[in-house]
Amino acid sequence: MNDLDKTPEQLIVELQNLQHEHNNLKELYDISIAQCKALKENFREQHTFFHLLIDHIPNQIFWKDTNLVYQGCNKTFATIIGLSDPELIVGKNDFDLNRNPIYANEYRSIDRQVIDTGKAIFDLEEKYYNSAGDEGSIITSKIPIVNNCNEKLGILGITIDITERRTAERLLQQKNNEIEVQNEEYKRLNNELSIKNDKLIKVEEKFLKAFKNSPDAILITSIKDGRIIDVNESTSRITGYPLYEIIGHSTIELNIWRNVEDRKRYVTLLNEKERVENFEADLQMKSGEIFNGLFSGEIIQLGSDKYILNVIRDITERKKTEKTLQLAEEKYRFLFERNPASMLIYERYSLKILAVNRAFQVQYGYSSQDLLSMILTDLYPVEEKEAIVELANRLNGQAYVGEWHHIRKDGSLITILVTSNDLIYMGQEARIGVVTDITERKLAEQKIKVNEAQLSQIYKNVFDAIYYLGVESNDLFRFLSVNQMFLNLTGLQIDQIEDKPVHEIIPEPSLSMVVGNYKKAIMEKQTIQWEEISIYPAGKKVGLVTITPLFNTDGICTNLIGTVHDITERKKAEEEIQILNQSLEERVAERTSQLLEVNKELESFSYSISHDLRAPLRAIFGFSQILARRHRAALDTEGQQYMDYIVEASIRMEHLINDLLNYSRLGRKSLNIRPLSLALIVDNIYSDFKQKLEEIEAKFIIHDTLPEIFAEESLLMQVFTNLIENAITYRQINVPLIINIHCKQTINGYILEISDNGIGIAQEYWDKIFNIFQRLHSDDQYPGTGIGLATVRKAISLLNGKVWVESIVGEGSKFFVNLPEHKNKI
Amino acid sequence: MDNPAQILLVEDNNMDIVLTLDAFREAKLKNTINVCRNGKEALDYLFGTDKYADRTEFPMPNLILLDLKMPGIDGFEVLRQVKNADILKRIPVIILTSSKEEGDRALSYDIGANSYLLKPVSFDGFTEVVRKIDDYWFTLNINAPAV
Repeated sequence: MNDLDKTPEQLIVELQNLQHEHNNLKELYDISIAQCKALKENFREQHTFFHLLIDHIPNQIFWKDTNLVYQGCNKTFATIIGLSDPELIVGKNDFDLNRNPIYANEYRSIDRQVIDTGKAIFDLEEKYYNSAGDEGSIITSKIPIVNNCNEKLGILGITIDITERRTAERLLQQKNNEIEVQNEEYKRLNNELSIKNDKLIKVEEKFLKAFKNSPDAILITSIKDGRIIDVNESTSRITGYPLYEIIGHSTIELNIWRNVEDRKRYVTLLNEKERVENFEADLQMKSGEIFNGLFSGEIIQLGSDKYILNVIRDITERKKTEKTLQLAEEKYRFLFERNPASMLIYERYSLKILAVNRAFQVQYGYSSQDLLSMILTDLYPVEEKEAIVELANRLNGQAYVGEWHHIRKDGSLITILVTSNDLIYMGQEARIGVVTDITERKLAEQKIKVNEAQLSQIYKNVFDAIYYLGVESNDLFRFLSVNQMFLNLTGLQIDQIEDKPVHEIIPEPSLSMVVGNYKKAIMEKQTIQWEEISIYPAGKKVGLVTITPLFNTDGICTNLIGTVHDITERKKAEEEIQILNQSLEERVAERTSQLLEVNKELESFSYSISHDLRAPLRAIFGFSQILARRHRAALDTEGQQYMDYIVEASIRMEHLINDLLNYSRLGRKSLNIRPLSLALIVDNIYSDFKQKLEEIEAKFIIHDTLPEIFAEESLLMQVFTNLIENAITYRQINVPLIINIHCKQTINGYILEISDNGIGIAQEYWDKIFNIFQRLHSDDQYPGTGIGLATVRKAISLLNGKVWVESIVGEGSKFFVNLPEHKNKI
Repeated sequence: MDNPAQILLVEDNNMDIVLTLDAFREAKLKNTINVCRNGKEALDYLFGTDKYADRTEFPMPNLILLDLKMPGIDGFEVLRQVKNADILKRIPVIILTSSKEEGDRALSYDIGANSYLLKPVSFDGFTEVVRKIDDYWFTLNINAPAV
């Protein structure tokens, strides 16, 4: 629709709109103008600020157009090049600025390069001369200037003066170098020091190690007060004290010295010489055990104080070893010196005698001095001297055994067997010889030769058969040799026997027994004897055969030697005797039993006789005593005397009856044999007789320890009682009686000896006195019944013993009683 | 003494009886002594049989002196019966014999003898023995109470 079409109202509205638009535009324009003005102002302000800024920074700033003509610079730059105002530089180039032309060219060529390439160069170091003409250093960065359309407009340079920095750097460098040199020196010194230090450390370590690990006890003691200030572990080990018990104490407090005098000597020596070595002392461990210590000590200075460094070595073991060695040496010396075999040592080349032992001296009769001034050949007889020198030169390193002759000091010649061998003696090459005198042996050998001849004679002529067997195995025995008597006995020929095995010669049944005996003799290694009956060509023979085994050095039986004693005749006789004996024995047994019976009767007879005799005796005795007492006055002198005779006879009769009773009683009792103390029995007997013996001042002496014996007590008591009664009865007048009791042990029991110094018994009565009723004296001289000794003999024979007497008239008697020792012998 | 000592002597040998009685007299002892001449008589007396029935005439003895060897009933038998009889067993029996035999001694004691004495051979011996018997058995020794 165009305007015409429009209504006025429309047009008006349009117009009004247009008007409104116009107003808006006008407003906008006004604002733009104002803005422009504001911008212009702003720009000016910024420009001023920019100048202010660049004028006051220490960097030199300049800018050039593409023709390298300066378009501006800041105040710093201007001042450097000697311009009073930065505006003065506009339109000038580097040549205009009174610059070194060489530098000016360099500047410009670089400028050009930057502009051309469009690439900035940063931090380029350049030289310059300032207005004063001094050379300086600068660092420059050059940046191309382009507009928004990338058109090159020029170059901006920013430079900073580093002259002072460079100078400072140079000085620093110089200083640094100096420091470096010093440093090097320090390093060198340090190294030296460090090496020295290392060495020191090592020395100390070594010392510490030595101190710690030494097997010896090391103690450092203060001289001032003797206290131990340090010790090593070994001290503790050796002394047995823990370290804390040692340190701070003195050796005296610890009681280490067994002998305190040792310590005094040690300290005195130290004080005198400052140093002591190999000082020995006995020391005591904590346990009390003693050990040998070897001291070394030295006075040392630590700081201002003086100390003793003590090293103690436990040499107990060494001492022991030394002792052992010494003992061993002594032992060997002893072995040589005291060896029963004669020994000598001689120097190999000179043959000088270096040593001899005692046996040698004794055997040769020379003293040790004699021999030590002799040479070996001096001992030999002239005819052997050359040979022994030759031999001695030849012997080297090998053992030698040989037979030679030696001459002793007394000139006698002996045959010797020498065994020699090499030996280093006191550093000299020598030989040791062991010499055996075989003179005797040689003689013996000769004797044996003679003996052999004699033996051979005996062998041939002896009356017994002798044979010699070889033992070839356990079962094979062979006749090697027989003598003539063997041939005679057997009736065999020599060639039938020699070299033949036994089983071909000896006939059965003897053979098995014979071979059995051979084996037995070999096994038991002893001579065996037996009786043998064999039938030989010579007839039936009874032989007493003895076989002896012979053994070689290995203990193996090699031979048997046998003898045969011909007892054929004897055997015959024996057999006859045996037959006779048998009948005899029978007869004896018969007689014995008869005798026993008779004996029994006799005993019972004598018992009842003695017993029944008593009653009438008692009547005679009793009534005669009553008569003698009550009616004496009624009798005349003769009557009185007769009465006394009756009494006396009664007493005697009483004794006889008692003794007879005793005697007969002996056989009728069973014996109670048991061990008895003879000492006790003799003691009892002595008690019984004590009073009587004292009355007559007799001595009773027991000489030996009396044994225990097997016997019957009452019998033994009877024997002693009777013997001692006899000794008392038959004592000598005016000679005090001495009774001696001896007891000796023999192979078959004991012999008791009861001796006295009485009147004695003539030898012809020595046996008779033991018979019943045998009397040697009248009753007036010596009262007795003649039954006592018979009782003794009977008692002893009941004990299977024997009694006998030995006596010298006027000197005394010895009664011997032999009793068997053991019960089973009774 | 209320009850005077009564002794019974058993002995077959007449002379020994005389000697014994005489010894009592010699020793001046006042004991009453009755005598039996063999074993049978002794047993009759002790058991109060036959002629010995009257105890007033034949009182029970305080002590018996007994011989061993007697014909017929011997001393051992008498002893055995005495010791086996309740009324008699407390009477002390003294064996008075010539025998020293061990067998005699052993048997006597075994069957209860209170003592064993040997007849002395001499008269002095007898006197001594009876004195001692009286001294010991009637003075020193305290007898068992009567049954």
